[in-house]
Amino acid sequence: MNSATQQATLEAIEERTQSLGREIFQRVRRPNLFPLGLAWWENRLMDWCMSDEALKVQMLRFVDVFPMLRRASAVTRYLTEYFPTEDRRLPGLIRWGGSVAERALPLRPPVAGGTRWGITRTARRFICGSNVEEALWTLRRLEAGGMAFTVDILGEATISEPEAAQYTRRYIELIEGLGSDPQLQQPKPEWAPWGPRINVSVKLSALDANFDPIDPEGTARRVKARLREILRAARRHRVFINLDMEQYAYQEVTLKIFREILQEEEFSELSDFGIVLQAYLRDAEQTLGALLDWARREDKRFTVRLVKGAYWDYETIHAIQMHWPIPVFQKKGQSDAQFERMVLQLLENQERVRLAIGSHNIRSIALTLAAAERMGVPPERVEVQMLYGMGDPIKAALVELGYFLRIYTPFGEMIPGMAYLVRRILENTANESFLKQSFFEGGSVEELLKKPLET
Amino acid sequence: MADTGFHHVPEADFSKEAYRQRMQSALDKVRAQFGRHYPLFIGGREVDTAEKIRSENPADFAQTVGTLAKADLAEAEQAVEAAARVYPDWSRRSAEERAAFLFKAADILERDRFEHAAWQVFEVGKVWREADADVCEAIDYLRYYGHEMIRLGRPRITEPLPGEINEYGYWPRGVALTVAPWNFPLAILLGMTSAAVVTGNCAIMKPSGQSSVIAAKLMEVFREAGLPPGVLNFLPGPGGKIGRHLVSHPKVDLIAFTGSRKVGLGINQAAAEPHPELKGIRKVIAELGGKNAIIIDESADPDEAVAGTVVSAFGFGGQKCSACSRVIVLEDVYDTFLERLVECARSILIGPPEEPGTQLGPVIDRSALESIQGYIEKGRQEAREALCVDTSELRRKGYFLGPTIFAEVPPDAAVAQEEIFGPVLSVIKVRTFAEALQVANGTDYALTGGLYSRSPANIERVKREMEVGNLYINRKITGAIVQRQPFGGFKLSGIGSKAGGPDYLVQFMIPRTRTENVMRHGFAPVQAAEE
Repeated sequence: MNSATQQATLEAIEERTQSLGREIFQRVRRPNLFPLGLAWWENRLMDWCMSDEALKVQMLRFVDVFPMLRRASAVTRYLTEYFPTEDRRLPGLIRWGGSVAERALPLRPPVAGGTRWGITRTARRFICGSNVEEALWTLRRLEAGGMAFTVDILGEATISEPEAAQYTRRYIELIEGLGSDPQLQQPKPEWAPWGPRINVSVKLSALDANFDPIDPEGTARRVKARLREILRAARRHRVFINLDMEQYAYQEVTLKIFREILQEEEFSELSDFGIVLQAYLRDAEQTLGALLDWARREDKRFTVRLVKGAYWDYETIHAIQMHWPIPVFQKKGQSDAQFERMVLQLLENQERVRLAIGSHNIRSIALTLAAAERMGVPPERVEVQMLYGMGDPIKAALVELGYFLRIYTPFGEMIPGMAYLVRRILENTANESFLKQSFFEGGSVEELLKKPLET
Repeated sequence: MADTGFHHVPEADFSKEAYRQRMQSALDKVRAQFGRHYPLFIGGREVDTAEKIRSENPADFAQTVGTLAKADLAEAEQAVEAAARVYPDWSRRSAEERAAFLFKAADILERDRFEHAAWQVFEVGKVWREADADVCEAIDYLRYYGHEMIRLGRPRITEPLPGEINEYGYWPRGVALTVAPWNFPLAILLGMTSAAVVTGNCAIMKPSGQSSVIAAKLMEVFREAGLPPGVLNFLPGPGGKIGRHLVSHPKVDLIAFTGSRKVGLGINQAAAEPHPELKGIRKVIAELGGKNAIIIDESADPDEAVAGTVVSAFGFGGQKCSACSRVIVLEDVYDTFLERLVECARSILIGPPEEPGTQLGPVIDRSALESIQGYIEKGRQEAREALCVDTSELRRKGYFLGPTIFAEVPPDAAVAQEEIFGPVLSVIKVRTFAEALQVANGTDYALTGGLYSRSPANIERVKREMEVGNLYINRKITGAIVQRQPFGGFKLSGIGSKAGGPDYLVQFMIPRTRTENVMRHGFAPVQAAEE
């Protein structure tokens, strides 16, 4: 594309982004629709988190420690430690619960029970169950609602060999469980162009007790041994496997494993395989460029899921503590802008690489779909992915407009589930959160659809 | 604390290939230098001796890392004379001048940081990250103490007063002897020695026999930095002989020691002995070891608690005075914690430390190996062995020992009271948090300690009641960083104040007050009134 065509195309894309964005907003802001579709307890939790930063921190720390507390007496003790009854800012319900439990022994179980019920309910918004059966129930419901899925396993960190082996088994059981479910076997031809219906996301660090970028060779060797077993099971059941991207320090090794597997003879034709790139990393465009060069050289086809990134606080704090350069953009606008540039670059390479975007930002979603349209990209080369439990009105709007949507649906036990829940609440209630701005602060459509600024 | 202009040197980011390559090249370069001979350095001249010290690679004990001249009483005397001779000049130089040598040395050390790290990999068996961290700590000490000396070197007016100037300042003590351990072979040696020298003392470095080549390399750094002859003297040799001689030498004014409790208490006693020619009372600074515990309560984050305990206990084979050798676990979570701890420790990658993926290398030498094995035998009688990893194959070539974990250890068992200095961890079960604190405080030592908990009340309690010099909450208990976590303990863990902190250099000096009447027949300069 020469620069004049490029300019014309970019303007056309921007125009279509604005019009599509407004269409989505119109459907999303219909009256009588709960903004986040939340029930009373969750709404209260979100309100509290958004009204007071210190309270939010205490709330999330409590939620984080909560599953460790087995006895009712422990729950009520921690409630009062985290939320001292004299603190006037606290919601009345929590103060009441704490003070009552402090004084009246018989009331501890109901207070603890009520707390457990509230927290578990909130967790259930974002986590679809604790085993394959429960997950299936949710996944079938998602499909009935016109949405596809990708499943992920939430769990504790892998810090021993038996745990690594166990995770490998769990992924394989998941693949086999989903792959042999009769309902998921029913044909769905309208979705066939988008690839395998069953889609599983894998975290490579779960597959090794000593995942360490200091030794990429050793790490890759051990992880690939386990990943091969998972990929073989996936192939048997026609399941798509996606490699999640975790912290920045792991990126190089994760990409190395991704490339090396595809270059093995056994997997050289594998194309139901994908990897994640995070647009909040300063060097993301470079990484993408290198990946695309490699794909062309080695003639490989795969999917890239493009996200903004979910470890911002950790990456920033860790880099500062180590006196290393901070690897993530410090301003949200910078990530958003790079995200959009990477979308365009990926769409230009759509014959080789499919694009999935993970986002709840209407501007980002509209830009992607508009660009695909204006650049003549076949619809099945692009998909939007959103998290289970977030942005439901946006999902409904996209389905109504006929776009293909895949929901990222984690399942797993409560304890690791809590860490996940905490991150989701943090995301939802952060000042820069798109969802917060659109639904809780009622930001204007024009503002929310603006092109992201670099500075 | 005020910003003194000190900046940490960042540790190497080994997730980046560039750094891995630099480390790999350094290892190759250092390997090519094996077997070289290093003389003593006294009064600015190299001195060789007939007898030699051999330094071996603990991962491959057939391999000679290098040989060194071996100091005897004659050389020890020469070193004291050389230091005493140059002391009047050195002590009168300004703080800025002396600090400049430290800054120069820091730059040289930083320039060659990966080589110095590579020497540690081979001479004491540290894995890549540990070796790099040690070198970074050493560079930090040089810069931190340099800045600190500049700060302390400015005499302070105690009270502004017209007609009289009252100044408070510090003067050096004289000749200093630094006796260093092998476990932080560059950082601790350099910390004590650079503190002695920048404060105006002249120093004699007596390195540990197991890490003398690393010390020789340090001497080369100071030579390149242009330190005047005699200010720093390099005297490797048998501690029992020359160490003892120097510790009770009338011309040695200060001894800085880091090492075992037994040797340290012996030095303290010998240093206190009166001597007819001794002009003052000798100052002893000593860091002696610990029996450090981490407490785990029911709200601990399970991932972090297990991983943090394993790193604290088995990092560098537990051969750190700050290492965790006891973990005290509340009974509610004891079984789940222990099981996960054992599996995590079992999964540690053991091998030659020059391999980047190795997490646990060898212990330092044969006598350490035997001593640790002795404690393991004792532990088997006193408690239940929950983990023992066989390294007999690796032990044909090097002093390899796998991690050992004892469970349900009685708090007064030998393995729970005595410092083992190896990869041996005792797990102790307690019923209440009060009991946990009691057990934690129930040894002769008070160096480091930790807590994994998300209960604000327990965190507060441990801050108030745990008797340790360095307390860590919800993180590993090793890896203190200069200025950020001044390091040192009390009870039988040491005398004196904390390394890498604002009080450390003061110990190497003598405070003096100077008062001058500036009135002349009722007339005083205006400045005196305004100061």
